[in-house]
Amino acid sequence: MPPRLRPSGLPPPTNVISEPFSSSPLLPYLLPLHHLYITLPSSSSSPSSSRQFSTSTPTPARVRTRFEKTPGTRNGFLDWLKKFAGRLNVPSPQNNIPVYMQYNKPPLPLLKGGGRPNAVGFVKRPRKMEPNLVDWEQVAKNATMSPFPTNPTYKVHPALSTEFREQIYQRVREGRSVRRVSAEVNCELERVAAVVRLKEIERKWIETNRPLATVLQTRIHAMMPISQWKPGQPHHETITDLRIHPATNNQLFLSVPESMPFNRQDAAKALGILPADIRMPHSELIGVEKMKLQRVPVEEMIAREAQREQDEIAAINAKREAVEKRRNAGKVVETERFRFRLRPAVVGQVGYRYGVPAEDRKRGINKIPTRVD
Amino acid sequence: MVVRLRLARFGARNRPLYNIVVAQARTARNSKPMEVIGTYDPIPKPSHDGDGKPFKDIQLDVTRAKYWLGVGAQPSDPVWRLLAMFGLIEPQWKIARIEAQREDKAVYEKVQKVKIIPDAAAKQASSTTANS
Repeated sequence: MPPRLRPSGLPPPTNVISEPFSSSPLLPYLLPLHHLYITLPSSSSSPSSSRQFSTSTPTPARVRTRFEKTPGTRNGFLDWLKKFAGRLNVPSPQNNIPVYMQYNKPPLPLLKGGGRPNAVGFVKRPRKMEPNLVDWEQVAKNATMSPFPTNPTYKVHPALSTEFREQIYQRVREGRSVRRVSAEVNCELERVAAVVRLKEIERKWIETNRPLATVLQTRIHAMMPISQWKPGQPHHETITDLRIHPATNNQLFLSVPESMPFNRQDAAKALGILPADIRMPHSELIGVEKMKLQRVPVEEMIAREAQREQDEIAAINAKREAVEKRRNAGKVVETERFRFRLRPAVVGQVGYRYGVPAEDRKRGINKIPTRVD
Repeated sequence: MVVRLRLARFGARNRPLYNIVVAQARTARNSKPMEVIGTYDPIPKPSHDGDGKPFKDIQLDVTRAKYWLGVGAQPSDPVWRLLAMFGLIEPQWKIARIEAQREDKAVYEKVQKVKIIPDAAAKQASSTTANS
C-alpha cells in the first residue's frame, strides 16, 4: 500500500470540485463531460474528509467513479444517465431520431361526461383508455395532414366527412348527373362516382341488417384531416385539375412564323390531342363563366346548360351505339370457352410493324424542322 | 422452298400478339415476311357486356389468304385452325375430334357446342327481308 497523504497537505487540484458544490445532485448536468466524477450514494453518509486526526481505519473520502463505457456507445455518461434516469427523455446514440421528432402522444380528448371529477372538481383521466369515453369527433378535428408523427413527409389528402358523403348521395338520388353534383359540391368526378357506389352498398347492408364498420370509420377519421360539409360553399378539392397527357411528355419541335398567334388549340393540334379546354374535367364550367361575363340572364343560363347536358347525353349514347355496332360487325365463332371475333382486314394496313430504325439521332438528320410549310 | 402461312410472334413477355404471315418455310420466325395478311390476339378480352364468354380477336385479309392457299401455301396448325374459322379450309381439328367421338362422348359434346354465329349485319338484313 502506498503511503497515504493527508488531503490538507496537498495543493488544491484544479480538477476537483469544491465541497459544497460537489454535493449538488445537479452535478452531472452542470459539468462538461470530460471530467465527470460522481459520489456514490453510500459515500454521502461517510464522515467528512476534513478530519485531521483520526485513529480509525480511514474510509476513502469520496469514491471517484469513471463512467464505464459500454461498447457501441459514445460515452459512458449517457449510458449511465439512461440507467439512472431512464424516464427522462435522453436521446440514445443508438436510435437515430432527433429529440424534437420524438413522438409524445398527446392525451386523447374525452367526452363531456367522460371522466369522473374528484372532490376538487378536477377530472382525473382514467388510467386505461376507454374508447367509448373518447371524443372521436374532436380527435378528427385535431388530426393533421400527416398521420404518422415521426414521418412528417408523409402527407394525406383529406377524407370526406359522413355528412358530405350523404349530401352527395342525396343529390345524385334526386336525379342530377354526377358531373353536375361534382361541380356543385367541389369534389372530383371520380370521387363523386365512388361515393355513390359505396353509398349504394351501404344502403343494401342496412336493408339486410348487416353491421356497418362504423368503428373503423371513426378511427380512420381520427387519423386524417376531414373535409366538413359547409352548406353555403361545400368544398373538398379543386375539380378542374388537368391530368398530364402522355403525349405531352415528349418534346416536340415546331417552327411557326413569329407573327402567328400560338394558343392552346394550336398546341393541341401540334401534339395530336384534344385541347386542354375540352380535356379538363369540367369543361362546361368554362362556358358558364363566359356566359357570366356576357351577363346572360340566369334563366337562359339554366336553359342553355340543360340543353348542353341533353346534347351531351345524346352524343354519348350515339357513340356507344356506334361502338356496339362495330364490335358486333363481322362473324363471331363461339367455342366452348371463347368467342372469336373474325374481322376483315386489308394487306398493308394490318399487322404489327417490323422494326424501322429511328434515324433522328443520325448524323446529318435534323430533328428540328428547318422550314415552315 | 415451301411457302407457309404461319404466325410471327410480337408483343412482349407474357403478352403475345401474332401476325399471320406468308413466309418462306425456312426463314426465321420474325424475319420480314413476304406478306402480312392478318393478326391474332390470343389473350382473351372480357366481353363488353360484362358477362358472357371472353373475346379473342382475329383479323384476316380473306382474299389474300384465299390467293395464297390457291397457289399452294401451306398453313401451320394454328393458322389452319384460324383459317377454318373463316371457312377457307376444312377444320382439321374437328375431323380428329369426330373420329374420337366414337370412344369419347364428352369430346363429342364439346364439338357439338361449337357454333358459328353469322354476321350480325347480314342477320339484320336477312330478317328485314323476311319481314318485308
